[in-house]
Amino acid sequence: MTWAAVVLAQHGHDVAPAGDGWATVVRVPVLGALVVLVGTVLLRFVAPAGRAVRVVAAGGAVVVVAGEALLASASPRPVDVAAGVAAPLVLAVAALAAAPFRVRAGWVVVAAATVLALAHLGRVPGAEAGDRVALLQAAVLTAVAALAWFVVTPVGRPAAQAPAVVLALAVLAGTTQLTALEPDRPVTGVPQVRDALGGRVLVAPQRPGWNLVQVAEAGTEVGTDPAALAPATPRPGAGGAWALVELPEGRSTLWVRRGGETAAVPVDAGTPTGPDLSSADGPECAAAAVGALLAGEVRALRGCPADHLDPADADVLRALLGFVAGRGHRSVTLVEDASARSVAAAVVVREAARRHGVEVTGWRPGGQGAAGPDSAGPGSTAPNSTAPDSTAPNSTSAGTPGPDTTGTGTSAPDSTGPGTPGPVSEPGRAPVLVVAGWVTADQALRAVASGALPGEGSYLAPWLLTAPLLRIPAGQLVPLRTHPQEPDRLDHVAALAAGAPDTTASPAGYAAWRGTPEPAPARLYAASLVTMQLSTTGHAHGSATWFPGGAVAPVSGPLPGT
Amino acid sequence: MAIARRVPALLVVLLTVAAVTSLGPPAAGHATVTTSSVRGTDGQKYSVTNHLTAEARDRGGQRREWLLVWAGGEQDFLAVLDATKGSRTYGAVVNTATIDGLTGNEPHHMQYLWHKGQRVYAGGLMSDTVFVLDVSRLPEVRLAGVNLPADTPCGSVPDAFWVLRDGTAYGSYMGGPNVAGPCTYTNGETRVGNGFAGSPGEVVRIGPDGRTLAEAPAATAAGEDPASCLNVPALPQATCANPHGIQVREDLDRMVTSDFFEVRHLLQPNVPPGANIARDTVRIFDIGDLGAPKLLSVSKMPDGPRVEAEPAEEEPRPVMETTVTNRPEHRGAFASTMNGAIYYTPDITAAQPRWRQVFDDATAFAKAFPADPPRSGGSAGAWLQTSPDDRFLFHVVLRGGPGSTHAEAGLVYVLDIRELLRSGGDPRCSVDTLAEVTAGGAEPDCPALAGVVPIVDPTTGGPHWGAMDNFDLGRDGYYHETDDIRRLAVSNYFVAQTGLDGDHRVCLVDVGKRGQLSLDRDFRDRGQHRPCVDFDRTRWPHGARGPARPHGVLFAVADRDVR
Repeated sequence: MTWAAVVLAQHGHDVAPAGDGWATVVRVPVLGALVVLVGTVLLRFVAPAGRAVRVVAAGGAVVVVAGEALLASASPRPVDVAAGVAAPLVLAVAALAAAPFRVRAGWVVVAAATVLALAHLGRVPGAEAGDRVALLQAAVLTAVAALAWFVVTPVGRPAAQAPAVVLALAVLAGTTQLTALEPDRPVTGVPQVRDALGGRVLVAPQRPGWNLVQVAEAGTEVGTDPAALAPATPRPGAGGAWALVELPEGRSTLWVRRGGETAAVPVDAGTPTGPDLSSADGPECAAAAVGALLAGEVRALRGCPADHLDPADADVLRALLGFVAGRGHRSVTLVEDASARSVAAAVVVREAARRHGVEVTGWRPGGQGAAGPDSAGPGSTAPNSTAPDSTAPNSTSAGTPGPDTTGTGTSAPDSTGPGTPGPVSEPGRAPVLVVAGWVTADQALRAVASGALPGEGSYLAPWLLTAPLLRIPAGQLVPLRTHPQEPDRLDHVAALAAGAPDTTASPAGYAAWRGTPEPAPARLYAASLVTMQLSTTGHAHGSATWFPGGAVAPVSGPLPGT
Repeated sequence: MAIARRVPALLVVLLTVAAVTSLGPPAAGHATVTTSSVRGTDGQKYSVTNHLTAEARDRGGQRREWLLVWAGGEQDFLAVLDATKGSRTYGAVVNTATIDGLTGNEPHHMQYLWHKGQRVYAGGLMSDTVFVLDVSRLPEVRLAGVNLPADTPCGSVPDAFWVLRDGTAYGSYMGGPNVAGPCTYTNGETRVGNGFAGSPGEVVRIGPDGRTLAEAPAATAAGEDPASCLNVPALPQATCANPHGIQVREDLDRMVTSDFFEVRHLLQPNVPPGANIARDTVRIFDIGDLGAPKLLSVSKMPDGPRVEAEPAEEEPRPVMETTVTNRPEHRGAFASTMNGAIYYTPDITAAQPRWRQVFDDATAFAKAFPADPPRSGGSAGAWLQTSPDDRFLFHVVLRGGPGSTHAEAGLVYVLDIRELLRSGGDPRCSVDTLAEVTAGGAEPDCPALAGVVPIVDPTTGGPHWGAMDNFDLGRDGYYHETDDIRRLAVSNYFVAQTGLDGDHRVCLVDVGKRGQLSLDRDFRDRGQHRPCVDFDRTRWPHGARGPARPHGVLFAVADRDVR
């Protein structure tokens, strides 16, 4: 099992490379102890090791193993806790305990540890990119422990020392590689988040070809050619700013510039290509990658959430149709796009609508209004198309009283009598059901807010619970299986804030971070900003929440069938 | 040598003790922990846990008065502070009754005044949830009921409460229905809303067990002026109905509410520049049938004499608060805006009530800072309350207008309103000249500034809410309710997410016989010289949970200690 306590927050090379002070403090004794250990092995030909030398050398092995484990915990490298830390450490500590004595049976341990190290090494070629470093580390540190036992074991014929010399030289090279070079290297083909220019930079999928790069601020320029950097821009539904950067195969450098400062971020795309994040759904996919990284999963990105419709989400969409039909609506406006997930979701919605006798009208972004019933295909998903940004003033004129500047009250007209027994929709104001990705959802919600798309409530697919989409005043309702204020979700938000603060909390990221599906039935939640910005000088602060400044409140019981 | 040999053993003992201590009782320290719970209409269990400190324990017959503070933090809680004059634990937080499980409520208001036998209604702005608390055995608090978002389908975002004689309460819900579209209220009427935290808001009657007894529309059936009442998304019938302040005269069968904002909006990019998202309206309801409040009138507050460079800082918007007169011979009510104006109408039973501006915060600022007074536009006036004897009108102002000198200074001030009320149904007072803005109304019945005390808060916010101390310790050793208000509580916090925060202190202000005000310097944290109790602290009775944001405040006494 692989593990990484802190997989994020690597440090990019600023133009003047710098590293964490504590890491440097750890590296020095590790390399020093390594020299002592290897030197002791190599010099046994000419100077047999006395008790003190054996203790110092075995102690050096303990320092190397422990120090290397510490360095690995703060790097993006996955760590095999059992094989890469626990076993070598136990062996090294045991060697230290045996060092004052001359343990003739130590040859058995030396042989067993060497075989084990070779076994780890043998698995490297067939392992995934993310696991190769872990296997290499396990092999090297097990070999370090083997050397420690070699030091405390009485030497017989000099010829027996030859393998030990080879092993010592291999350990010297391998440990130096791990200690001095590897921490600054990204894991080949695995999305990474690095510190640069005082913020974080996300690169996903870190594969050859087009990659998404996220930075904190719009206008920050990124690219592989420092003479031709492109500005990052905001993307609908997502935090931070984004740019598409084409990476070559293997190792290269990503340049990040803001103001007069430039930083270099090392990248290693490897050879095989990854999923396509250049589409409108790229930021959602990148959010899923971040969620996995935060969970300690150092894995290459194999696919994106928009590639398929989760059966559980399909159940929720069917239930949504049931809810809408139960409120007496006879039609819905469906907002979809061309992604595989959206296409599948639209099929589910149309089937459910037929069962409930609800008419489905398609809507496509771009200000063309509603298409005829079921006549519209999937909407455009062009990532750079602009959404209607301004909101028209209230345009209704329903025989309202004029302004009363004299301070005289107006008598409210009598109520319309006993009222109607149940909700009745206004003609032409069908609920809007959004099964598209973040970009088209953003366009649709802005159209609802502005009145360009008249709607009685905006029912969002479960994957659309992101703060930027909820901030748009469009009467959003989202089916969820747990409350966004549940401790598990807040833990995820806190992990994001600590590890990737520019990444907005999203269902895709949460699902990847959580790893297992949520078992509870879905309820409908209303979501909206609940505060207005009364001051632009102050800024909000407080505990991390899924939707800062807003509310997500349960407004229904469990939805049947979920 | 013997001692040296014992050193390792001693170290082991010390390390063991340290380990046990660090793993031991939760951060509650020596607090006594009790929990009460209720089941919500969603089938879930909701609970409140008391963390009573040693200072909360009975003092052998000494009766005590408490200040309840509804506060938000890592875990939201109702704090119980010792507010007993002369107590050696004066100002101590003796209990924190934490809301278990449900975080991020953004604790907001409770009722304006607490009377013996009443439950406390404490609203969560963000969670759209109301917690009904039994405070009869203070300093212990028990959860008596919970009202959840789904319990009020036609409204959201609860703000303030008024408890009726039968123990039920009216709550003002600023936001629209949970689900956009038509919503049918318990009186059978239907209004179309644009959804949660949108419009129109409503009035909800809640039982002492937390159940919804009635939902009443705050919007007219015919709608209001769309140019004045922006709704996003637009509604078929525009409405300004986003009630915030709420007060009641049961003897007159009237309820008054004041409209604030359609609360879901940032200034940009959701609304066009210059659009009116702040409301300038006050609503009066007939509550002859408590279960079916009926909207009688919607009044727009008139513009005043100030001409502000920023139109959003003109007098009539937003009408955050309203307060009614109390004595049977009076029928008037007041309303205040966040832009410095106080309005008055002499008769809330009139079919078409007439409102007039009778005071401007600028007059109080000029009294407090004669040399260079701050502006009142954008001063964010909030809590407004008549004294039970109708002599005084108390008001809390968050800060000086943006950009002003002394902008960091909020105010607590009191107006003598006796002459205004004596004018009956025909008041003369009207602030309609710039001179009257800073000097007070020229007419003889205009309110007179009786006292003012600045509260300097260097943060983005300042004093926002308050409560009157309506209890007096009698010669019999018991507390009695009084109409003679001699003390106020004030909390320095608005809502952090709006950019108006506060330094999170709770202060007490003494009120002299003629209304003169002074900060109670004895009400402070132990070992501190600075007056007021600071909620930005590391440790609480419920543990090391860090800073908290105090909003609603309320004086209360245990049932057995009040007669």
